[in-house]
Amino acid sequence: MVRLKNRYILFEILYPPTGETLSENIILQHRHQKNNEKLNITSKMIVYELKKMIRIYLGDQGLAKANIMLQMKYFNSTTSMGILKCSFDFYKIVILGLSMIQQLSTGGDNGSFIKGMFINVLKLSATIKKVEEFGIERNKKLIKRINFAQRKNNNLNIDFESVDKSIIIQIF
Amino acid sequence: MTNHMQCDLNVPFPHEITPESLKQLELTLYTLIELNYTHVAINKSLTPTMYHQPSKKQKQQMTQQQQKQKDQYNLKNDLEIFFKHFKELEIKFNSRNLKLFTRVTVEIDDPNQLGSLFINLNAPSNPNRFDLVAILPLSEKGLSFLTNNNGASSNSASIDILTFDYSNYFNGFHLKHKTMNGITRRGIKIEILYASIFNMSNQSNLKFVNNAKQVVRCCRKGIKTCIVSSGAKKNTNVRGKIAVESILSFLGLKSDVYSRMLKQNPLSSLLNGRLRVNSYQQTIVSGIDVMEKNIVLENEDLETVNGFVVAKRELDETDEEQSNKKQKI
Repeated sequence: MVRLKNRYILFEILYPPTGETLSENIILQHRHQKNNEKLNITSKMIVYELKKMIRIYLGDQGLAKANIMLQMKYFNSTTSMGILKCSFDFYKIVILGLSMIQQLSTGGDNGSFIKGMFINVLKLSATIKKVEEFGIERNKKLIKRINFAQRKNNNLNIDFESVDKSIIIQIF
Repeated sequence: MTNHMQCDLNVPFPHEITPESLKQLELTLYTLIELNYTHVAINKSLTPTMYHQPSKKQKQQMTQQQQKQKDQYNLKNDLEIFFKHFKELEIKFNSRNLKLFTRVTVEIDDPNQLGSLFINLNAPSNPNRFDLVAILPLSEKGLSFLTNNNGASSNSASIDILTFDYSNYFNGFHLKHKTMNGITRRGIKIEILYASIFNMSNQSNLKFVNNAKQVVRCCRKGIKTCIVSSGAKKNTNVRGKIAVESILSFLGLKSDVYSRMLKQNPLSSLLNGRLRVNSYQQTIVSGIDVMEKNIVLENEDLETVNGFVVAKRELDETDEEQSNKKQKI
């Protein structure tokens, strides 16, 4: 009997700053956590947008292929990291769809969008355990980078205390 | 050289220099750092109106406004301003593990308009030399500049990259195997810019797929010939390594081909360009990273001879005996 093979995709949502203000706190600005604002992004919104983009670029056939075993295993809106499960044969289609996303529809009647974002695919693996480990290690490195920037900019009196680091530690 | 290397050899420098446009450039560099890029080239593009010096007849045909603009603009000053801003950026991003390089893209409509532009850009006496030199043909004549005997002989060493405008259809010219193979045989790499796939307006995403397929078809499937870079004016149009690979597989390329396109080919063109600036006829001393900027001669075994870094020769016993003999004589 042939075993069903899956692939797990670890991704994060980045919000590259577009405003004129440019501070040294660029790592947190990319993760939209400068002022502890919360964007209510759900996994449904991402999957909806993913299917929409696959339909644009690869048509109905591509969407049907990508739909096999497609499932959002985990998504955390505070860290904006998530894990997608898809089939082994068609993972390239799913990654293409993820990388093409430029906005997320909030699903309201007004038809409003969250713009100025893109999805960065971090890791592709066959087991969910390896993906988790990679995500935790990456977040540890991020905290180190933030600490380094904090020490470096102590003389500049930038207010880093307002940043809640527990948000970044909190994953899985 | 470090193990992890990721190149983006086309981040456009703004045409009109304002504080906002410069900040936008900085923001794109910050996003590239977040996406683990290590080698980035900042691109200054030169349009035909910038370098063309019209004859008396052509001046008479120009309108007054065009003449005023032509008189006000000075290419030397413009390049100096670019290098001034580049050095500021280099100091800013020095501590962030991002190596910045300069690149110039010359848009060619008619090769006769060029004059002595390439000779001036690559003159050894010029203090501000570009690390990479690229060409963007706007017509078939512009492409033939690379294949002509005159152009090929005089510029074979000075051009690294050939690019195209991927957001529009090629203006009345068709790429042929013979011309493109002749170009790539001389070590010139052909560039694919992926940023226009994210622009849904004006059907530029369709045009990108069309043009990129044409380029890959006539360049031996792009194995040793093509490089991939972003060409993104906004920081939202930049993508990480896995995403770019998925776009290239969407174009029908295999994994061994696009992994070469992303790492080895751009690095080889970058090395070629850096050696043009840093070496004498591409010969160097082994053990020094040419792509490493700001070489500090902390090691005592190194010394400079005629502007080049050379390893000091250690005296052997035989040398000491010879020197003693000389002293006796």
